[in-house]
Amino acid sequence: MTCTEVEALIHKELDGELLAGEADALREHVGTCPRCAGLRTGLHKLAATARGLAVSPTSTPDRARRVVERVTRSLRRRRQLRLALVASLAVAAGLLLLVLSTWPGAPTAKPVPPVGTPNLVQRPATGQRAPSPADFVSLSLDEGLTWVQDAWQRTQEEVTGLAQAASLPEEGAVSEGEGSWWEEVSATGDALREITREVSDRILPTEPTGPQASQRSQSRRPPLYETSDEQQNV
Amino acid sequence: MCGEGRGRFEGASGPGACRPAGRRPDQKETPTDAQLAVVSRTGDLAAFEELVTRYQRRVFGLCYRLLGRYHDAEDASQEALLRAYRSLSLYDPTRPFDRWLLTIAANCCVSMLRRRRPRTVAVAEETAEAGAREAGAANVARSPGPAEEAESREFAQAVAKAIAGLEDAFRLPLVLFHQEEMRYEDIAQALRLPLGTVKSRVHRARAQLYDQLTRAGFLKEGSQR
Repeated sequence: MTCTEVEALIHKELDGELLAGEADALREHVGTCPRCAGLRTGLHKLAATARGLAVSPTSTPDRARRVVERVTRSLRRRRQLRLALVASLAVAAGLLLLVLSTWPGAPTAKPVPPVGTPNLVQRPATGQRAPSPADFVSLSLDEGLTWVQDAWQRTQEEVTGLAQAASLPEEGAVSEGEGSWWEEVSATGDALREITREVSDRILPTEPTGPQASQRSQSRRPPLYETSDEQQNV
Repeated sequence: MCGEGRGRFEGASGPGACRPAGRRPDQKETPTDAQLAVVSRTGDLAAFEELVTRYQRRVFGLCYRLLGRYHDAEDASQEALLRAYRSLSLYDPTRPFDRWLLTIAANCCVSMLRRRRPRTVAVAEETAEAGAREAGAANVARSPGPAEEAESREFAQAVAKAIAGLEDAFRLPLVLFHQEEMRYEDIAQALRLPLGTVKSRVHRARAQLYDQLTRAGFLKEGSQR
């Protein structure tokens, strides 16, 4: 075994990785080689002294305590910041919901009739302008259609109820003429149907194609309450 | 049964997680490092504070030896403890906590050394002298004679100075291995170096120190090459 190989074994010995066979070879070599024996002794002394050089941190208890305090303070501050962030996000989310709920045209849980919507229970006065379909386009499609259908349903029920309460004759038995009950009921019904079509046309992104679409466009009629003059001219 | 009657530290595994047989129920059990680490994961600052109290001296000592400045050592040890807290989810409770923590601390020191300007000899010697004083004092306790006392102190000072004069690439693995008594695998992880490189650097650092101290007359000449 050469001195170079022995030097490697000495390092392995200091690393605590020397195998049993290697230990025997090392002992045998250093027993006959004073230079390698000196190297081995010197390196062991060096390693032992280096180990003893450890600076004892106990000499700085105040500094160590300060480190603990700084760490825990920093951790608490992080936690507070995290809580503040969560709270800010919650407030922001609340504000966003508030803005969305009050935004014109924003969907609402219960559709609210837009300004100018006629009270369908009341009879429109002769010559009174009917609501424009544009008043309804601020609602979403589903809301607008639902509102119109509900209103129409309620109107039919209430008109029927009023007619029964007033002992009015059936629809066919009444002579058509301006100012009669059934004329106004019928006109209101027509207006509501028209509004429904207008709302659907304006809100729906695409027009349905095919025979249904052409049939629908053909069946479209001008609004009955467009102007009071038109009505008077009919 | 181990799982019965355990409270705050019931989530931890490893030695010490259960109450040892024979201990009275009213006797207060000291939680193990692994138990404290597992509880700390849930955000229990008191548990983590206990771990910090146990290891802050070792962490600070390691940082001081590697960095050589009290102020930097404070910063690095604080950073190491914070990093450890944030990385608790990665800690394997079956492994020794101190090794894991010291690896993080060494890694913090390496990062700080990379950011820092080239180390001056004066700063390095500050650590060396402090270490040599303590080593000399420790050796004195073992050495009865005044001549041996002086020789031991002088040799310790020479070793400390020689270590401080090494390049960081060699000094760090040597300090971690011989002074912190860390395993090669942990040093490799902390320094982000291959295992073979770490071993090679420690060996070369020893050889350099031996050459230097031999030339200075502190060691008898032997064959290095």
